Amino acid sequence: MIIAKQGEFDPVPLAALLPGAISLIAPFALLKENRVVDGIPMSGFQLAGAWNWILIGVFILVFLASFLKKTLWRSVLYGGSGLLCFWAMAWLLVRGSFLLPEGAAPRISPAWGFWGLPIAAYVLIDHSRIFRFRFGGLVLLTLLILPTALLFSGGRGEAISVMREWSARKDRFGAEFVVHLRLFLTAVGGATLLGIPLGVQAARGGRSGASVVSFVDAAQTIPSMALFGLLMAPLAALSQAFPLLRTLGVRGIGAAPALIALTLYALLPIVRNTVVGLEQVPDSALEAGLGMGMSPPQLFWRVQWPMALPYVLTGLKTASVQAVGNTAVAALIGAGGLGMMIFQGLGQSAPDLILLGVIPLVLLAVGVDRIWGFVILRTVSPGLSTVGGDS
Amino acid sequence: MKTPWSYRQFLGSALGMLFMLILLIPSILSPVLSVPFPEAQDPVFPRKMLAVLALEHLWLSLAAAGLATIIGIGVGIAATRPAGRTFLPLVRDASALAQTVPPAAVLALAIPFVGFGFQPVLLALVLYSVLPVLDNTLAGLENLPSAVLEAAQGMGMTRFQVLLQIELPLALPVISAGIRTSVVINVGTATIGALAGAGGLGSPIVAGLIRDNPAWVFQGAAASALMALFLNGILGRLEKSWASHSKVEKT
Amino acid sequence: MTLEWKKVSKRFGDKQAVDELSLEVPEGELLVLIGPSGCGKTTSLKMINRLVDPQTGSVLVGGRDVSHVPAVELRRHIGYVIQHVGLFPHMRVSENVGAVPKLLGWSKEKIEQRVHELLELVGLPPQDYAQSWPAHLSGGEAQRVGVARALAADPPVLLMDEPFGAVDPLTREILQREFLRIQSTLGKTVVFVTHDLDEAIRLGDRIAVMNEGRLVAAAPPAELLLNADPFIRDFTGEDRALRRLARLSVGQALGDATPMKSASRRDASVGAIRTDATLKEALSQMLEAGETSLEAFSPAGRSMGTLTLEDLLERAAGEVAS
Repeated sequence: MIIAKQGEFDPVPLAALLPGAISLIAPFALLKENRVVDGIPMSGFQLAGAWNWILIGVFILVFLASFLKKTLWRSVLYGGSGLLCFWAMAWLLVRGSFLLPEGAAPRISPAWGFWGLPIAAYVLIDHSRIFRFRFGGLVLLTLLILPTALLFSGGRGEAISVMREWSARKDRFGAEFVVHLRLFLTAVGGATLLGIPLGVQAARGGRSGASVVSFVDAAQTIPSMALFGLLMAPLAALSQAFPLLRTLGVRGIGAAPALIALTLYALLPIVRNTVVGLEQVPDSALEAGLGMGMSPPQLFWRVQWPMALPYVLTGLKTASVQAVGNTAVAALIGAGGLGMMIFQGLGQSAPDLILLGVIPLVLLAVGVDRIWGFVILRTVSPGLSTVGGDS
Repeated sequence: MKTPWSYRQFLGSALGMLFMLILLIPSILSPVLSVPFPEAQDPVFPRKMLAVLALEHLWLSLAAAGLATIIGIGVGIAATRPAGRTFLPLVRDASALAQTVPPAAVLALAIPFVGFGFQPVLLALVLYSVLPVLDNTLAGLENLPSAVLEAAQGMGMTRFQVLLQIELPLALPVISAGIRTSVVINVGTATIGALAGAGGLGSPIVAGLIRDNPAWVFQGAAASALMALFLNGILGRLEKSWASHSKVEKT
Repeated sequence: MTLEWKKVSKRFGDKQAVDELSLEVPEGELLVLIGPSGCGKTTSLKMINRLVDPQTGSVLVGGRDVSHVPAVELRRHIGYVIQHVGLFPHMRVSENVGAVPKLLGWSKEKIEQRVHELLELVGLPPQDYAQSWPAHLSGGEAQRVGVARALAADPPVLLMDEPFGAVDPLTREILQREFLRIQSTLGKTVVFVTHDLDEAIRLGDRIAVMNEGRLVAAAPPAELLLNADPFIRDFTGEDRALRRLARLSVGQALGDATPMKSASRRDASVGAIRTDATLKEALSQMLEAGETSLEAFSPAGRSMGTLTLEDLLERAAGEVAS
């Protein structure tokens, strides 16, 4: 029997069908003549037109599959439907762009119902677990991006609002993206070089380790925007007092205070996790190492450091992911980066411009998180896989 | 037992008092601010009193944290009951993914769809700050000693009684740590919320940046930083006192 | 290699941890240090590999004062086993066992061969265990790896600090038996700290009892159990007579009594006991069956004579040195 016994119905796909259905019924996209006018809302049904049956068919198929026994086939069905939902999202936008009114630069903007399909896709793909093999993530990424890129190619995607914003400022976008990368990488790099030795030093100090951790935890609660603001005044005063600093770019506003604040911020999780990682090494391992005749450097490099490594790397991951977001906030004090576009969009009430800044920002954060996850998986001894926090 | 005041407690109270003074009496603030910021013409943010802004900020952060707490604990409980357990891996994965998204990005993402103002920002704050509460609820409920649960079932408690009288009280320290994180994140993100018209302590920062008035920036920044430190301290205290009541004996 | 504490003292703050300890350990002896917690037994042990340095007096290893030997050098030639094992979780079992040889700069092949040998010796088949991670071992297995690691560089001296203290009683007994077997082939000079009197009696060639930093007595187990010192009488407990019986096997009690010639005219009315059982077990069997004598058989099944209740009483009251 392939039908599941009574009571074995799988309810999770319903959590995908609900947002999926919202995408079809609720306003999926707005058709606009230009950037400023209010658009005409269109639901997924209206956009799909005669092709509706495909989407409805997929939904029914998923619903029926939830009554099947738990087999590989069921999972493949879930995963495949998830991919279809994602492609449908792109396809509906392309469909919509053919319905646009005439104009100089008509555009189609996602409305709130738009998010139903990506959510459905996420739920189905995550639940199917068919991409949980080695490099499965890369396969999934290719399967998501390649068809979408094909759909958008040949000018079919250019009427999508974010694309319009992008093509209007390609050069600036590229420049801001590079600035963003450079700021956050410099901050994290600097924080790593400072933070790990500081953490090692604090952990050596015994009692001081605990107070360093509680200080760092408190400092971490200060809002990033407040830290930027607080640093402005002293830096401005410094650059007033020392013209040399001004020539180096240290002013109240600009890349220098942003970089200082970002580095300080990134320092916190790195120092914290280094201290915690070194302090969690059990005394018995240290005693065994000492007892077998390891010199202090040998004890550090062969026992303490490898055992602290998962914690340190998790700290680096946290610091990097946070720094991506904080760099966006740093745009407020004139540091540049993706935040510039977000704040400009907020200032001009231009949602599409906000999206142009936010989407790459989110992708960058998720990408950085995944890269660190991979590094942690590769560098940490499998013997420690039961420890090391949320990797 | 009464212990003498530690330097940290002393420092905390002194900072708190300073905070209150600055917020409540703008006439004190004006001469104080004109010392470090001599060229600022209007050193005190004129549009609203700092105290009012602080209340707005506090209200926004706490309201969002309250809603996030209700949702987070609710979802956390649902996903750990037998009926909802199939959702547990999904909830975990989604929450981990969502937590890598910067809070500022959640705010910016929500605004195009829900508009500007207090309520949209509140919604964005709730969306993001659900995650720490949810995470900690799951961690708290999943890591209870099985012996305690067995004992509770063994003495004839219903599932609901076990949840209410055993599981939630034991998980409380962990859950309240999540609530604290969520409050702190909200205080921070609410500052950025001023850009989306939510008011609060971010508005003097934003206005100061636009008008090139560092005195305003300083007021907003210092007040919001102190508020975050203050709330974190108070909630941390509460947590510690709760944790000491519900220590689980480890066997 | 011989060991010696010479008028050694150590204070920690107000507490006199070790007070004028003088004791010699001849080569090949298994000396057990025992006493209530805080009596200074672990401190005394740690002075040998210089994890603790004495304030006065000196510790000699092989006749050399350890304070003149660099600590790191000294420790690489002394095996060290601790209660919590202290396996390195990020290294495989084979890397853990090979840690000291690696510090000593042995070649890869030599280390691998040695690890193989040692895992065999401690009863962990290398093909199953060499590549495992410590996190996957049971407490008993982990402690076997700990012993193998301590023996890796073939140190003449082995220090063991409550090595079997954290495992369950059944596993502890197996580990003790295995350790006795290993020690009987290797003949290391061993200092073994424990607070478990049964373990001390079972393993020790000699037992040194410590209290409040001072040495109270040092004697072979049988003599110790007869010691009249009030602290020792108290420490050995009300059931020391039984402990004395537990120390001896039926075979030992019957002495070198030659095996009864040939086959068993087994008297059905008399119970049977194997010669490798302890006298404590024999007593228990007599009480249970209401007998006053048991016939002893060698493990091979040969009759070795008759053990009587009188024999037992005599032994319990005061064992004659055999």
